[in-house]
Amino acid sequence: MLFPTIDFAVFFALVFLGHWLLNPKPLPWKLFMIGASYVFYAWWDVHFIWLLAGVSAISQLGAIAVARQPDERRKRVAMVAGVTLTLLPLLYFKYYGFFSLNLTNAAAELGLENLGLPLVQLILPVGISFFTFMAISYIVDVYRGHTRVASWIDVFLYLSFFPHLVAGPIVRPDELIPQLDVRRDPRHIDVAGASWLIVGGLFKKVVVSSFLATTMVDPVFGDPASVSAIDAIFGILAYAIVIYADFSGYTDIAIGVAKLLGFQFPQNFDRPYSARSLQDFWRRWHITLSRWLRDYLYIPLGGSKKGEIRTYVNIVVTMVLGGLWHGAAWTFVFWGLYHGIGQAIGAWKRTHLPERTETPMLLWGQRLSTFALVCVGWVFFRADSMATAFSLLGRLITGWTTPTELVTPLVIGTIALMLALQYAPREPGMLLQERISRWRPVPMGLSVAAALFVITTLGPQGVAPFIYFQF
Amino acid sequence: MPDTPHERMPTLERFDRFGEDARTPVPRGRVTMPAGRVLIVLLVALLVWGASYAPSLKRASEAQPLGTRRTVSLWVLRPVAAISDFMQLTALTDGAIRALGRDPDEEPGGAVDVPEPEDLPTLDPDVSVSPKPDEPVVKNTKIRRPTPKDKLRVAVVGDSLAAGLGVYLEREFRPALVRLTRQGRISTGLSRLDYFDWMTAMRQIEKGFSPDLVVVMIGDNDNQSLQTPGGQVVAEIGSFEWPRGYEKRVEEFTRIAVDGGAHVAWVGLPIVQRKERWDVMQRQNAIYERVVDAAPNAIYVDTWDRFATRDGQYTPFYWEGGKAELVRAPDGLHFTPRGYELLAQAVTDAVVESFRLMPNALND
Repeated sequence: MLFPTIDFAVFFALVFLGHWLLNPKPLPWKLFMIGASYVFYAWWDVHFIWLLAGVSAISQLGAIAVARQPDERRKRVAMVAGVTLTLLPLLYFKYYGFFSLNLTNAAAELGLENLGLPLVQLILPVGISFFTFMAISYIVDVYRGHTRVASWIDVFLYLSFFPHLVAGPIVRPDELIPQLDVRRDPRHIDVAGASWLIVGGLFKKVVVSSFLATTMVDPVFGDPASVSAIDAIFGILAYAIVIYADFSGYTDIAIGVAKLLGFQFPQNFDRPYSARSLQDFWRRWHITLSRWLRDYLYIPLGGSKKGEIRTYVNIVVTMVLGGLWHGAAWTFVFWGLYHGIGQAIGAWKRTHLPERTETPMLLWGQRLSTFALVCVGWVFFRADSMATAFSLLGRLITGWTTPTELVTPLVIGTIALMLALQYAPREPGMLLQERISRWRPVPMGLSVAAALFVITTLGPQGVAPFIYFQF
Repeated sequence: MPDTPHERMPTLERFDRFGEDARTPVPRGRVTMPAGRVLIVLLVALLVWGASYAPSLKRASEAQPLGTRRTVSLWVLRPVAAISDFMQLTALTDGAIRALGRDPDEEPGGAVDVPEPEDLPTLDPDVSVSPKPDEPVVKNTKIRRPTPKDKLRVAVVGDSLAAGLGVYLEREFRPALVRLTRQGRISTGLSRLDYFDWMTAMRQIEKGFSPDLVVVMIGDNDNQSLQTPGGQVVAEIGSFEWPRGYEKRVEEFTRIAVDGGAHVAWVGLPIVQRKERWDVMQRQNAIYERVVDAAPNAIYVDTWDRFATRDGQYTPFYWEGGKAELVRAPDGLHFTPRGYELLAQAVTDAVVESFRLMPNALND
């Protein structure tokens, strides 16, 4: 089920009612929320609810196994076994086809005609990467003693809770499971904050992302060889905005929806295009994935504790695997490698070069160069092949004699507005939310309806699925 | 002491009280609301917004395939739309849509946006148009030679497969000599003219763009009853009338294209993963081939066998030189970028061979 649909609006109104009516009774409430979350998931494809249930069961069995071991060594073995079993469905659905195909073709290059690997193409279950990572967090956190073994029902609800189910944020067990065990307070709902997030998220997705995707990104990435340099530049800039508006829009809606149910989710974006370095960018972009990669991949690899060279290697390995997490394609591998090398260079600079005096020129130079680097990375993220990516980047050099056809004042204005918002002060928005929060329910409902009216009118007919659903 | 499942938190006890950890943090100065009032906010927002957009939602529901979902949607939306009309909310919505330069009464499938040709349409003397009844059909005359000043105009029309094909077909042609317009519309077809009227759209494309070549890929969504633009069912799916009625539409669609002087490359439906669809799709392909064979300057490009295994089965892979390439999307119908590339190459090969298109109109 997609957030910006009538189906979800009706679904959420019913779930909201059921949630608060059953709130005082933990068991019926938890069963109701699990049922609602599975309906939400089954709306897309009913068959994969078994996968979600299976991953939930495996992670709980893994956590129990870890907790029951008498010594550290056995706990570690149980943890590794649990994590491996939890990962298997993800590896199979997401990566088996990619690796079997590439191995078969590599063998053919070497003259081995039949490697015997069955080639298959599988439908990727929506959200599998997200709930698998959360399941791994749970097992590892139990092993590390950061969280206790929760009840079966809590684990099933933690992993399936519909606001985060298909595209995050990746919520840690100690962030959500304790909230499931405390009766939510129905007297104090931050409806102004929640509405702000939901309406803002819908605007970003339905209006901004859809507009730039159809007018700039699709044509530029569709036929990169024939676009002008100006069109190529704005196509790349537009994609930077599209992926931000799309993904942060989804996250805002998810956080807002959770807020209306009395739950707090972690922040997932913090003005990423105002970052001063690639490292800073990853502290602001998809924050819950970045910290997951840090805590469950980079640190277990040794982090920065095993020498300088090993630190750089760990950064690159973590980012390559992070790239691969986004999809089984060489473009994602390259994107991860690009960010990994970029961050490793940044780490080397911080270690070996003296810190420069902070000036406005330095600050803006760092911000602009980081944004430019991120945008070049997005070309590989969006392109359907490496050839397409290089073809588009090539147009930045060769496309200056081609007439510009796609860039319009509205495109420039939209991109400029979205970039300016990365630097806008937060106070006016907070003040407005504070004012709205004092309104009575009917005027507030009418104002939300008016905002939805504007979004629907400005948006296109039908809404494409969120980009991050495919991951 | 190790953690064990028996050392869980005292769930029931914690559920009996409210504390700071029972609510989300709220910034200072912001007023919160109890759940009952929040429900009023939600319902007011949904009802007012729903009422203002009910007529559009009703039109979109009417365009859905017949079935329970459509019936339930219409059961809910018809009275709401009636109330909306009565309260003049529809006028407000329509006014806002018109203010943005859009037509509030356009079909659910959207309107056609035909690009203006850069140059005036020209017809070669040897380009045939629709034959008179007593004239034999002139097949496959040479398509005109494009020049930078008078580019070849290509329109790619059809459903989502055409939308994908259009992207990769554009890459096949040399932009200096060919201007291509991508007119693929998702979820459309020739059955449900109430959702998107391809006859009218094709006439608009002919009039506004005057294509030299029309590439058609359509039909995947056509396993539905035939409806007129007004929504009247003229042939139920599965009836004896359906194949004849569908063939007439294919004829009319082709005629609109060739009457305007265009050459037509009709790309047949590809083999799909769901075997239960094969029979109907192959019958559709037979209709396309038959109609195209009888039309002037029209060719049929087979894709069924091209993307099937040697023994006629579906495969998502394409083998060449011992190497496999993934060419079909996971839905078992659409193509991957590489698949669309191969499809586009098949179309240009056919156009070069049958219509003797100058090879320099294609990219190297």
